[in-house]
Amino acid sequence: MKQDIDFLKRTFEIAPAFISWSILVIFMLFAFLRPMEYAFFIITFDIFWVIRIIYLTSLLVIAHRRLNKEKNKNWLSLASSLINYRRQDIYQAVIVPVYKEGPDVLTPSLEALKNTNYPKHKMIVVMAFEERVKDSREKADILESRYKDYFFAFLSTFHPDGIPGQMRTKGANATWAAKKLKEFVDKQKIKYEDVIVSCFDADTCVEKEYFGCLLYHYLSADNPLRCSYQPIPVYNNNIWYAPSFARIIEITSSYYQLIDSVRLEKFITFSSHSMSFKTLIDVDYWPVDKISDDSLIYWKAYLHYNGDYKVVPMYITVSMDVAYGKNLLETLVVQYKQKRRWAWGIEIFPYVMLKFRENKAIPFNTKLRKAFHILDSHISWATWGIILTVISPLPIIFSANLFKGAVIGFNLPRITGVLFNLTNITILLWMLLSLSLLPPKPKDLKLMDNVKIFTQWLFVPFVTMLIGSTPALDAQTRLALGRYMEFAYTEKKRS
Amino acid sequence: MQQKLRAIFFYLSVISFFIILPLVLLYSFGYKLDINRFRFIKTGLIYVQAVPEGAKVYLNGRYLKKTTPISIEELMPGKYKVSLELESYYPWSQTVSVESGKATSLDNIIFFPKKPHLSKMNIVDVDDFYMFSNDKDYTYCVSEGRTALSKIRLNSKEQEASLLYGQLDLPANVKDFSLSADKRKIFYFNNNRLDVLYLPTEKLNYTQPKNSNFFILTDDRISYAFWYSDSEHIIVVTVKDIKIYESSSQGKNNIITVLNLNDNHAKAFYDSAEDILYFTDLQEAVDGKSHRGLYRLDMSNRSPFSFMKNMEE
Repeated sequence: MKQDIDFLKRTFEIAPAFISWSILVIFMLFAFLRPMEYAFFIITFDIFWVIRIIYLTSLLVIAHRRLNKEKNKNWLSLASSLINYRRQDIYQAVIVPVYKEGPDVLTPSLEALKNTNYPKHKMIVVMAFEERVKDSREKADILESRYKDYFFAFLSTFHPDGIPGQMRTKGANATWAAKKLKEFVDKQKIKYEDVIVSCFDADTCVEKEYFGCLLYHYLSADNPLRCSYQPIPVYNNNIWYAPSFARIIEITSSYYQLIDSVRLEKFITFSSHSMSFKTLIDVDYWPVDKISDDSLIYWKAYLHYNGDYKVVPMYITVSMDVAYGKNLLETLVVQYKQKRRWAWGIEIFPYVMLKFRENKAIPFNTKLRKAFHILDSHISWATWGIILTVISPLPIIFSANLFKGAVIGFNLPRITGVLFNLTNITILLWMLLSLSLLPPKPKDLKLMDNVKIFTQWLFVPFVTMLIGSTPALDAQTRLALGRYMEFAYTEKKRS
Repeated sequence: MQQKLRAIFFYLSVISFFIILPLVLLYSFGYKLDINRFRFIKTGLIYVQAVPEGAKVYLNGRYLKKTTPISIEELMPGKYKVSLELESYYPWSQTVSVESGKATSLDNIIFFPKKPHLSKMNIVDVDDFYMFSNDKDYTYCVSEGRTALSKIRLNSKEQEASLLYGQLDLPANVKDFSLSADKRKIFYFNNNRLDVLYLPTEKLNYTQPKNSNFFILTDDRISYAFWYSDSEHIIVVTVKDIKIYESSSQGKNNIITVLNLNDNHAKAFYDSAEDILYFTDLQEAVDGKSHRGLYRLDMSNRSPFSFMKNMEE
């Protein structure tokens, strides 16, 4: 039986890489062996891609309008106006897993929490340190002395190293902190369902209305315990100081999150997110042996409640750091590794598939659709950039030899050119939309920096190829080969 | 509302995909809808590219209201006359065949101007002129009854000539001129005399450097002569032999006979970049017959030029 499960697990681990590589290899083979069929496929793919990008851009515009509309709402007053007797009892607990981040990164995050308009006597902050990091205690003491008086409680937890069954992941640390929070909540005799827990990255800065917005959505949800609450992550903390291409990658990441906020059936938790503390306890906390704890918590809850679980989009932003290095090459490496870690989210596929096998309550069609969504997003991620920027232009370069004077040999470069330009028009729209997502420009920004902000969009094809698809293909290949990734810390930079 | 809008966009996208895809695919592969017979016909195209661009395009005499480069599409298989017109240039036309699903490419068209871009370069009368591959900026002109040698700058907006020599007595049957690699000397030869001229170093210096010019007299008629890459030696191929003369000794000392030749009509080519002489010569074989061979004589400093190699019979 165990052997069967192991075999199935490996099969599901290999499947995404197998499909992605097959798509790429088949495209390449067709390009040189069967150019006519290749032309057919590439035109079909290009039209599919253009229509898809236009469709996604329309969703982005919808989400963007919603974000702008809800940006200046007074959420706390709106929550107060809801006819719900529980609104006065809700505590907001914030767990901040910390690894090597110092007070320079943590202070702005805590200041942002302090500056929210949510009643502070209803806020519990849990700074979750790693015991194995040398200066954790010192950092905890500094922060406690500065912030303990501002909140109902300010706890510091220290996650011990080497607990059996755990990996050195953010999820393991957050789970340890959540268990300590449970002890505190039990002591205070607070009901679990009266606590909303938010797990934030160390660099996450929330808006003033964040907890008001969260409370509003929590109270207005049909079943608040069967929901996760997902804000829109933006990378504004240091965005003006990051190199252009790192900036564009992060803006694009925010856009994907915005687009998915409209596709509710695909919308899952990512990075900083919130949920009921009772739900977190019921589903046995975040996974302690996986890197993708942020998305897996959704799947744990989804499976635990037999599919009766959803993610509610909150059109309010949480701001994080753009990952970048000392120079362009280092930034490229940092970005590549960070995106590979995100793409490692494919590890949820074997997990979900094995759990689906055990679960008899979720209808087969729903399981199939969900599995397709996971595969679709990850396989598109790993392949479309390479197809568009590498495989697609290949036969155009060699068209004279490949198509031997056929009409398609002349038409293919022109048609793919037109379709590519249509994609560029949508990029122009993305560029304009990005202006409203960005924070105000710092005063010390030079004229050249302003020029760079616009010209950064010229990097799109390069970024698409290098940081778009390859980290995802890399992550999938590693999973297929059984070379499991461990959590890699992304250094935060503020200037 | 948001989900309704999304659904509308989704279905619009799906419908667009299924409408646009077949149309684009058919167009790409050259299919055209024959409305009268209501069926698709596989057509061909003619691609026309010409230099300069912008020529008017006529197909079977009908003006297409388009200019080159152009791809004339959706053509039924058959013969078509393509005519191109560009103002101030000679027209061009050709009849080409179009096959279904194939592209006929006309991409080697060059328009020649009706009024050639003609400009006069010389100031005085020119009897003869020489151009050298190692000095592409100038042409060397013999003029005024073969007594003067001047050089004229090429590709110059204004006429720019400088007189190198004014009192030469060039024979009428000069076989060849050659400029040394350092561009400081010229030799010319006819029959068995080779004259070396030192060129004035300054452009406007008309005076001849004294005691510099010299000539070489050979026993046999000179067929070819070449400058060695150092500009100080001259390789002379006569009907009897191959000799090397040293210009620093005015061709009087250090004369080396490299080879004796049997071929009165030997052909020679000198690769001045590599200092290799290629030539033909006759050689008697064991059967007593003479065979003409092509030889390579490596005279570069890199290898001693004592060996010959029969490359080809």
